[in-house]
Amino acid sequence: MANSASTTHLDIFPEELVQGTNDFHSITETVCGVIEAPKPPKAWYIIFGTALAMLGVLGAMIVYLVTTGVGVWGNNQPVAWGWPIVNFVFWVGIGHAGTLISAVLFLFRQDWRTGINRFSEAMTIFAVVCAGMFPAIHVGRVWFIWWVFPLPNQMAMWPNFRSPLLWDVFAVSTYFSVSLLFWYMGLVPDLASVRDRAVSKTKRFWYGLFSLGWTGSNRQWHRYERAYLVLAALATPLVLSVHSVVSFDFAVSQLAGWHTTIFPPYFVAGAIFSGFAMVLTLSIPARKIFGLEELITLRHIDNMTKVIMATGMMVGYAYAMEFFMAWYSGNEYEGFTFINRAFGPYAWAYWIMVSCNVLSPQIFWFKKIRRNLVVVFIMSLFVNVGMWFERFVITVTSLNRDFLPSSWHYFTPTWVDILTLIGSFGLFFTLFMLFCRFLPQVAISEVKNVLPQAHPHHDAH
Amino acid sequence: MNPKRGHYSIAQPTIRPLHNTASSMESFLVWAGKAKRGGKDSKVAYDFIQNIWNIWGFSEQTTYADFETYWSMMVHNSCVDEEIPAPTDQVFNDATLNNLGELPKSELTEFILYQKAGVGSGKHANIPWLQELPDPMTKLTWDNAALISFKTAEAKGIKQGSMLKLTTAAGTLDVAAYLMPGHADNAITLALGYGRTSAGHVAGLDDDEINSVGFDAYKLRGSDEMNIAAVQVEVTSAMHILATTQDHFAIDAIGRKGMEDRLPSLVREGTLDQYEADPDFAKEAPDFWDKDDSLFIERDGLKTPAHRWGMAIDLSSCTGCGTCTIACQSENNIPVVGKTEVLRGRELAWIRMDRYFLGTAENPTAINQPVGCQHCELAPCESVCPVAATTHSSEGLNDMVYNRCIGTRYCSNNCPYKVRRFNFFNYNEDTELAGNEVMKMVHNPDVTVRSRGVMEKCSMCVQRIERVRIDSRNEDRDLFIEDGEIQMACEQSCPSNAIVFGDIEDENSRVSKAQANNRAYKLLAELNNKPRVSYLARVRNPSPLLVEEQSEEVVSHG
Repeated sequence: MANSASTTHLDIFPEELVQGTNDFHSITETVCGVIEAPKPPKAWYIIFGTALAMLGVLGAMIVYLVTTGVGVWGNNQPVAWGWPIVNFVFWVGIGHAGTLISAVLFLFRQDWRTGINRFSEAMTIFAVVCAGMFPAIHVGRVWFIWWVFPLPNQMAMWPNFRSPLLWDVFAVSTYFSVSLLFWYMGLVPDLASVRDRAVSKTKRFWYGLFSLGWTGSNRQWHRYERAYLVLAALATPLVLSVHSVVSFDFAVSQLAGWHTTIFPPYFVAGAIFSGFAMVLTLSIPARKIFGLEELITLRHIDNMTKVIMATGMMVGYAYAMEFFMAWYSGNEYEGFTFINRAFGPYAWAYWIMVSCNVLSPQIFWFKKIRRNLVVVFIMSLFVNVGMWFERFVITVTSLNRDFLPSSWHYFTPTWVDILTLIGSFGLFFTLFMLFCRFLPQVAISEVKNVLPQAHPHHDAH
Repeated sequence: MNPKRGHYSIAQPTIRPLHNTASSMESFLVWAGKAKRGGKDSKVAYDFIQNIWNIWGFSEQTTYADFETYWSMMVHNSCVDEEIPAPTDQVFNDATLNNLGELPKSELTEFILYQKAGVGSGKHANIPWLQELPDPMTKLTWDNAALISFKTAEAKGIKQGSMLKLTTAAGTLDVAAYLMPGHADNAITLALGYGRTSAGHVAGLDDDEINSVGFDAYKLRGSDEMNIAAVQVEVTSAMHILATTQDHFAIDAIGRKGMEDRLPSLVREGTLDQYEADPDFAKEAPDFWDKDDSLFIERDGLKTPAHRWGMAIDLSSCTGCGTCTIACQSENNIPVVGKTEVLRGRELAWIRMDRYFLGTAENPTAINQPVGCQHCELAPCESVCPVAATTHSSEGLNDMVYNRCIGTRYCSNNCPYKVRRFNFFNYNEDTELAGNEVMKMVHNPDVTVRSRGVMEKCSMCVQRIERVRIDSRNEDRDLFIEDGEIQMACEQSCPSNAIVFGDIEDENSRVSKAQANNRAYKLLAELNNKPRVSYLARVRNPSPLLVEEQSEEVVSHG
């Protein structure tokens, strides 16, 4: 076998996944250093403080909502679903990239996922927490929300299994539990590392508790790898199912603009699109603040922008297809809905959506731009905004002018709508900042796996 | 009492005294020094009235020998006739028409006062139902406004809601403008009865610092120019927000076109000539959904109910007055929501009167259509509710189970008729407060008062159906409820008998016959929801002169 491996690992990948002169030890040092530092960086305090204040606003808004009624929002007849459902779909979409990166890319042996998977999985969990909150608080009688679960009750009544909302309950809760499990399982070996290095008793206790007695034995690693593979296989269909089911909320209904078979794939593409944008929004500042530039490299960012460009074009294709089908169907209501979307009273929202989601990612054709962190960061914000508007356009513009013109009514949000959305970002960033401070942000053991040192057999023969 | 010329009747109590109260008649008698308080189960008023009839009624007749028999007859019949003198002939004196002055010319604007269907001269202004009843033409609630034509508005730079300063010989008034399609140019129409300052807690009460609703047109009314006057208009930059339940005419071009494209199939109309040439003109839409080709076993195939309730609304008869809306509101304990909530589009009417304008702003055709729940056989609202709070009854009603509703509002989104109404707030808060025992009695005891956060909609007056069913069971005839025995509140109150409710299982019922009429069609039938409500297309018989005039205008616009 002498020198038959003329194409080496290094030739296939022009750039190392881990930059600098890192070895096994230095990676542990870098990642654990963030947790072990006596004080987090100043930026952490600023972001965490802001997020906490926003979370307080969210709490106040929810108290106001529950004590007063859904009328504090802008919802009306015919727009019975307003911002809360827009926010729900927006956050579920963001919660998509995590599982895609950790499960699908794992199954496809995309090694570059290792630098960002922990990060995006955490993002997924927190985004789904934000998402799950909205349908729960948006119902008229919050105190009976548990009726949507098939629990034994004195009425001897099942929920209505024909309702897409019920499918949603199952889809989102399944997705949440599998994502949480997947994330936690990946954390176990890293938690053990933190436990072993911990100096304080409290830290030893808590990290010890959650690392479940991990010793790093061969047998444990073997079972870990197996379980990880099984969970990845379980989670992969969920990537497709959860947003497909969310799209059924719209697609199964009769409303022109919602009643479309294109929705499931279109929603999944959009979700991946927005999820990756959010990973970029989070990781670009985080790698700087916590000194992780050598682990989350420009190559990771480059790859993510390519995914954004690809899914952005899928989303653009879906927009075009919707228009084509509205015309091709010959259905007068369908046709009107789309013309009204693009040129009616909500045209401003439609064109924000198109320019953010379809036009702006096109600049990623240029490598220079893909590696310009400032531009990429701004673009990722554009995509986030655009994807929020996509859900707004779908939900509100279809409802506000439906079948009977007598029902038509323009929707305007209230200050409570706006502060609740801002507050949900507070919840998200509070959880995320706590994660950054107390848990390893990068999967230590997995990153070590992609080091050249982890594959000594290549040149040893 | 003398309710009608030539008829005398007895004032009879409609209700027992509430709590610890006395009747007004008793109080007047006590204050006049004619009687003493009777306390609980007082007979003061009863004795007084009986005595009056003994003195005036009994003594003046000869049919009855003793007062007891006479009194029983009076209470039973409640009315006695008297000879009525024959009316004298009235002659119309057309000579007085010559005394009319010239109408004001262009530089002065003509000003017309009228009374709105709801509050009238203003005596009904403090009734919130009538304040919130959308005006049949403007769809305006909680306000009156200076109606003005589009052409005049454009010439003077007036926008919807612009505040105008109107001056007549009698006085000046600041009032909001409403651009009204079909209104005469150079004229302003304003409704009386608004802007009241001592009406009460609804329409305005200065003493309690309650703002008045609307603008007081009486300020512009002089004793020598009662209903028509010359007026000077000054346009100000101030704006007033008008709460309408429907878009007014001037919406964007896309919306306008979408509306005009779909209206002919939603509200079907034809002229008499058209109807005579083709009596089935209303059925022109495709009818593939009539075929029994469903993939599923349809509900009606599973059970054979004794009754299948249905409704028919004859658009030819409907005048668009909106009485059905108020009747329904009173029957079904529907709260009013107020101006700010109407602005948000949250009015709760279970049956609403849709009004559209077709044609040009100068000479439009007004179209109206009452729309309530269509009680679809394949109701789209039912399948999407996650907690099964809206379900189908065996007799075909689309029932709303308030206790089960958690308020996801998905049913409303999926209803193509948008007839579902949501309780965004607790609109019945006042009646829940302690000490408001009397206020609670305004509610119909047979109908649930809905809490905050639940959906509601037309129940086809299910309480009335059940009331008749209970009676018929007691009489051992529950399968034979007669046609017309059950009346919906809207049906009962409709002044032109446009609404018919009944059993469509019975082919001789009025509703079955109406639904079999060749003018009958279902709203949005192509969605295959199979509504239980049919509309009967409107047949107009316009004067040939008017048709000519209209077509000329269209040409001049072309």
